[in-house]
Amino acid sequence: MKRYKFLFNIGFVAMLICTASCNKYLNDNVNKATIPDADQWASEASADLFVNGMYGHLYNPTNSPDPLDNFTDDNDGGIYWTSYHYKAANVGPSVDAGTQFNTFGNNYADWDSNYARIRICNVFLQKTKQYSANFSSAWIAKRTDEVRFIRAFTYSMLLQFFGGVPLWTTVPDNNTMTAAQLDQPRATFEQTFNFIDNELDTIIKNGNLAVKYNHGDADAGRATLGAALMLKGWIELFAASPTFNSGTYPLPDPGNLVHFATADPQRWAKAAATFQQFMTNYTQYSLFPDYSKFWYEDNEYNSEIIWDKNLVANVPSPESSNYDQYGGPVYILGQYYTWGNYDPTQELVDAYRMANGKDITDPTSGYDPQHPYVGREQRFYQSIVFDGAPYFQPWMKRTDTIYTRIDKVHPSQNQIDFASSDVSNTAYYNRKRLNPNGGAGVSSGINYIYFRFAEVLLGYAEAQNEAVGPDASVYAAMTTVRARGGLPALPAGLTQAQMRTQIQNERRVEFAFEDKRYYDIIRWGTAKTVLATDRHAMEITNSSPTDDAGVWVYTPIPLNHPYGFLDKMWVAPIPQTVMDANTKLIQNPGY
Amino acid sequence: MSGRVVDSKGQALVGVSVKENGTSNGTVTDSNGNFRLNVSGPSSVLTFSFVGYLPQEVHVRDQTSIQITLAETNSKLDDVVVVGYTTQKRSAITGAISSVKGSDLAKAPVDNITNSLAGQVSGVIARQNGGGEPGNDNTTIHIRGINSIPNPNFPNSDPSAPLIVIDGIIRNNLNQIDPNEIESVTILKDAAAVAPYGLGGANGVILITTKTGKNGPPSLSLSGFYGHQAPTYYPKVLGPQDYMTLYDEAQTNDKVAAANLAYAPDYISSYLTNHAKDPDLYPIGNGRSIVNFKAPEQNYNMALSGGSDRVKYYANLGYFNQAGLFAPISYTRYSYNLGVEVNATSSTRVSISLKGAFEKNTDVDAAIGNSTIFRDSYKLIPVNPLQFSNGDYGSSQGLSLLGALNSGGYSHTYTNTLLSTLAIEQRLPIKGLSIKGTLSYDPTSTNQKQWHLPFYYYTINTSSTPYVYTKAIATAEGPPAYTYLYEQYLKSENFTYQGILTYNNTFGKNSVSGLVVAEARNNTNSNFNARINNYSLQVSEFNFGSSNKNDYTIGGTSGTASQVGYVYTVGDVFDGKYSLAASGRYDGHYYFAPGHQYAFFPAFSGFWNIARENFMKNVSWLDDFKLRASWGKSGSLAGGPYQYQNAYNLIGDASAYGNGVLVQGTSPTNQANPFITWEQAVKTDIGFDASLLNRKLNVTIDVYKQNRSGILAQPTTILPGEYGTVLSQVNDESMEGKGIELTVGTHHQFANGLQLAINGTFSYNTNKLTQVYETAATFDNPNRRVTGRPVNTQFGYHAMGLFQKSDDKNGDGTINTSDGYTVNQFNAVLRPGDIRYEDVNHDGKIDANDIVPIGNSPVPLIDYGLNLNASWKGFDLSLFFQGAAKSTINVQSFITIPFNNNSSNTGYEYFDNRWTPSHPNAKYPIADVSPSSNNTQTSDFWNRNASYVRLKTAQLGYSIPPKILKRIAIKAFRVYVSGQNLLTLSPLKFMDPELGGVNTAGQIATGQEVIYPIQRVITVGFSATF
Repeated sequence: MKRYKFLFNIGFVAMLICTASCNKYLNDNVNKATIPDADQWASEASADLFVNGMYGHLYNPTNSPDPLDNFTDDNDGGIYWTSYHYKAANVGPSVDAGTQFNTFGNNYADWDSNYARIRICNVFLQKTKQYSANFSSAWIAKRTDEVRFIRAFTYSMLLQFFGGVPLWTTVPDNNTMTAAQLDQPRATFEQTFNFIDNELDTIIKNGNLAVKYNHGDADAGRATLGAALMLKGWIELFAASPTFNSGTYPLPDPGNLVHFATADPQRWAKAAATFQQFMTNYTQYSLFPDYSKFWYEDNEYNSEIIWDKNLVANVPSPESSNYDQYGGPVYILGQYYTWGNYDPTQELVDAYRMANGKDITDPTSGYDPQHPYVGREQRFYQSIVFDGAPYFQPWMKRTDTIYTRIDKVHPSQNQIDFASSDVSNTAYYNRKRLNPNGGAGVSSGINYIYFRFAEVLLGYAEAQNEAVGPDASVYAAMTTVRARGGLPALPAGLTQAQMRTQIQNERRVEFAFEDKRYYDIIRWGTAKTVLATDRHAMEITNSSPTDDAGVWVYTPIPLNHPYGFLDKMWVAPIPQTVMDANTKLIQNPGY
Repeated sequence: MSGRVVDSKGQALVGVSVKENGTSNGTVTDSNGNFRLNVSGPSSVLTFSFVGYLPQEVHVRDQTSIQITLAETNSKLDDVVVVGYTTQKRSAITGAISSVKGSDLAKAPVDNITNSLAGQVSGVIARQNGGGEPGNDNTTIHIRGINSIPNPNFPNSDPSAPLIVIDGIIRNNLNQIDPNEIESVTILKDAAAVAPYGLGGANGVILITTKTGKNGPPSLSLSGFYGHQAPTYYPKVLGPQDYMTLYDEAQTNDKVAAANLAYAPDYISSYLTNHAKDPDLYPIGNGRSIVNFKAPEQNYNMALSGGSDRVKYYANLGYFNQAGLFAPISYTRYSYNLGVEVNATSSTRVSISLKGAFEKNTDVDAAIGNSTIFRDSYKLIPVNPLQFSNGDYGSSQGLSLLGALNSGGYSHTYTNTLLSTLAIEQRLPIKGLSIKGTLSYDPTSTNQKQWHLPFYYYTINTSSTPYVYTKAIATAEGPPAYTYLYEQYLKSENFTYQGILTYNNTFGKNSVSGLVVAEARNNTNSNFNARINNYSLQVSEFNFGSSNKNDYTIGGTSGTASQVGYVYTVGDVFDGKYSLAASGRYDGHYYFAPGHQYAFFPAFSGFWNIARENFMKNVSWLDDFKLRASWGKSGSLAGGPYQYQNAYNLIGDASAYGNGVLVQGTSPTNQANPFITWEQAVKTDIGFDASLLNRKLNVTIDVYKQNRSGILAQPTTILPGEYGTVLSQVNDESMEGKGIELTVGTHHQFANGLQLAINGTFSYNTNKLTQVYETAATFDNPNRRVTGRPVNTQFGYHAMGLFQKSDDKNGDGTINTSDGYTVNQFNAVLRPGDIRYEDVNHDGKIDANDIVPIGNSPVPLIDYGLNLNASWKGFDLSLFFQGAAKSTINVQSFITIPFNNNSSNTGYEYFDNRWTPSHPNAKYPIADVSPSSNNTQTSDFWNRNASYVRLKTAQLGYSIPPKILKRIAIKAFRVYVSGQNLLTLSPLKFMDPELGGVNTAGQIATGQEVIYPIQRVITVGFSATF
């Protein structure tokens, strides 16, 4: 009997103890996966981690198999990618209305990702105020300007793709704010532009940031005054361009959400002045002499680089570059290497000049359509892999020759095949920006460059030519860029329009495969022309196909990929999910 | 007093308990059925009892030697069934419970019961959608259909998965239990049955009870089987000539000029002859040639069991080995089970159970995985070399199958699991009351070792003679060109503490039972992992790795978890006719915020056995008719821990500045939801258990309904996109499920000794989403509305067949407005042989507004099984058919779409059934060199009925007569032939209808081609008892 009592008591006591301590039993678990607020903002060192995270969230377009250039007439990406549907003018705010646009070009136009970045910036500004006792004022001043720059940069992406957007400079909080306060309407194009422009202006005037970081500087990759001024000039140039600055818009835009209400040619002058300010004050910047080696990892933070995303070789995405997996010839030395996603069109190839500086359409240029790759300008050979081109990178054992011709006797694996395989449909591959040391399958540490000094020069040339005309300073800027590319100076006496054509072609060639062309054809309004026509490939066949005894015949042929450009496409549609969530938003015209 | 105990056939019964009533005097029969017992006198009464037989009382009187014949228990009513935290007589059960004997499940030659449970008991829905990879072929099991909505934020957990309880402890260890060790499996289905499991019960509960020692002399048994496996389906892909012919046909369809076709006709026709002469210039690559269609599988098991009234023991050792379809893949398991039960006093019982397994999974090189090998073997272009004539490995599309398979790399996973339980049970001085304390400690350790070596292959240069072969490294689709070693150590310890107070007593006609349980569970876990890249020496140990710090990664985490619950059940059965019962659990879990951690899940049930009423006395054909009803709440743990906390995540490699070294960073987590809690199900069940015709026919039917609410969902439409962060999930979606299930069984013994038993099960489950977040675009369109439709309803376009030549009225090769066809289908240039879609809203274009429902979920709504057992003169035959219906699956794959992904190979399924002008009534569209966007849209053209019936298990055995065995001192010996997945009838002739369709979270997924094929297994086996 005693024994029973003993056991019974044990059981009973056990139950009682458990009841009393059960809350403890559950709450003793510690969440070790995350960091609480107080620890995050405890010191400059801990808060710096947050800033590191913010830099980590910046776009890394090198990891997109469908780069922004595929959305232009420069590149053909193939049928698997969003760009294929975009170029078929199949674009809409949701899958219901066409190709979904918000994954376009690796998050450039992703509303949600951009606002997530903006929130992170605003959280930093709010929390550093709340915990200001933990930080020195110098640290706060410097980091605040870095964060404001990233926020301005992010808003600039929204402006370029969507026009005016709701401007949030505080952290929205659904616990303290009403739905009406959370649902903000779009600012106009002008308000959004002014906000970005003023923010950048303030950062520059504050002068808390370095002008430039050079190779080896520990902080290289952080925001600089150079980056702020460059972005300011670029966004002014973008906004001054005809699509947004002509006072009219092809579709009704009563809220002036995607263009300035009135045209103002002075906007060109403003952009020119900003670029002039850059050239005058920030003399630390100059062109890097060797265009072909500009992207090499050894040349990071060279004199030309204004702002980039610092990447590291052989680490997980997105902090390394997969560019070499997507670009370059598919087969190298008989071995499959790349996805062949960056296939230059015949249109881009034709934009390269002859070495004498003349356009290939100029009868005096010396261009022979049956020997199209002879005597072209230096940047052509540095940027494009064409049929019969020798291909060598330092990581290769020996030089390969890339053949894209249709050869019945000695078929090459890179032979143009007009099919869904990775092999090019245009007969060209890109060469520019590839990693000399790694090759495909090895993620590289080649930084993604957002801005480089050549853009200051060409931006100045364009703005000044529009504001004043082709004066000597325009020529000077153009000559500097062209000379590095091995081209002679432009002939004197060009009209403003002739100079404009030259500048536009110069930008296309100089910045090929750098994700610049999309913005240019949009702001210039030329997208309507260049995207509303089929792009071309080069078919190369032998006049005697059975034994290759004849001559090789070069025939540009249409790609037969669907094409089109609709007026709504000057800006991206706001994703339908975003429209559904905020009833105060007005959709962009035409969507 | 002495005697012998036999069964109805006159065979000796061993281990029968013989007891003198009113005393502790007793014994058991020996191996010949004999016993000897000193009795107190002629007035003594002896009770003979044995599991499975009706007990018999005998008055001693003046007898000194007797022969007793025990009758088998014909009815299952007095079986004891394992239920939540206790056992119950079948006759007292009020809830919806079904059970199956372990011996029925062990007939299938499989390593664990997940692959043999479906169809055996009603209400269990199982689909082998994950394929048949050795050691990783677990079937997705659901009880009563899909219970919840797949949660995309938790892609590795199925929110409808049932709770697994092994020997009374919540343990997800089906993999570690050899089917031979299982005594019985009970499925708890309705609210009353699952209520003791509270927040774990909403998806149903599977209770596994393993074998324990039985009274009697030691009995040693040995069993084993050996057999071979082959895929149920393995795609037949094109040979070189058909591939080239089709490629040219596709190019021609795509307007490539005849002169530019990839393969000239004479090149194709002479290819095989040329191949014979020069196999390297005219290579043939055949992906099937790497597959072993005769992969062995074997299982051996040894068990020792016995005991007395004082001590009972059971020991079991098992070995299972399964080879894979190609060499490096295999699974090996050593399992053990040791149980000892001691009656320390007449009222105290102590039991110890140690179960466990050592497992080893071996897979191909870490950088590729076997699923990619399958995909690559289907894709392999047949005019590309798999291997050159000199033995060097070739490649196709930059992938080298042999290079990958033979790299020397590997992926090994070692798992060591122990499931240990110590229990003390004490009968208390109050009659019928006893208390039991249980402590369970389950440690698991896992060690993963992954070794990658570069995949070498050779490229060939045929422009010089002899040909030049150059070594290359395959990096296409991901494998690195450098060596690496990755190791991970995972440790997990589960503790369960249970205090159980049970009460069973009879007052007149009332049988009262009650149960109170306090249970606490907690877990600690940790993992450590490291990787070093770049090995100069190919020794797979960290010490040999690169010393460059950039080649290192080290990581690790740890965590704890806990749960507390209080269970009660009370029930009363009156006169065997009426019963009322209540049960429930008050449950607390650490996942949620303080203040939201506890919830109460009550249930009520009852039955009325109409057949026992006086007015039914004259109905002689009805032995029992037990009408049951139950109602209750149960819960389901969803999502993950700490979703209620606001915080920051650490990012190990956040970004880098100038010096190119990655630094740490942080990032805000999703905004927390402090109110997050579990999902809740309200279940109602009405059913009956009937026995007819002298218990020859047993029927159970249940109809049920459950409303699931509080399902976790992403509240996408509440905050503006500019908010910049995502809210944590909220408990805001709901669905309802309904169903009916039926079990019918009958058995008969013919005069000539032939015994027949037939058992059939059928279940039909439907469900309906009652509240889900969906966009206005789909909600406002009745065709596309998700709300109101079943989970995983598939949507797409409605295909109206293929365009024919007659549709091209003007004969220009394209079908457009000039032929009177004005519908714009995705801007495609339409040709005869392309798919025609219905313009549902008649707006002249096919777009999202034309989307309609095009099929059921891949998870079938109807499941059924039919078990046939026959035995005659030592022969026994069992056939188990299992089937499923109302299931739809998207069949797009390499096998049905030609030249997908880099001109990949396709199957004869496509080749033989494709549209050509001379084959207009085709199953598949016209060939293109690139998959045409018009023809690859999700539509009912591709969504096919995946119903099937298959002979899941068949076994034919012969038991050698005891007379012969007696001479060699063996009690029983049986040999058998057994098979699994032997025959399948399905409208899908070219793929396994069970494969793919959904992922591990239960979401719709495509890509059958990367799943390890389901296996057909044929084995021979034996079992012997000594």
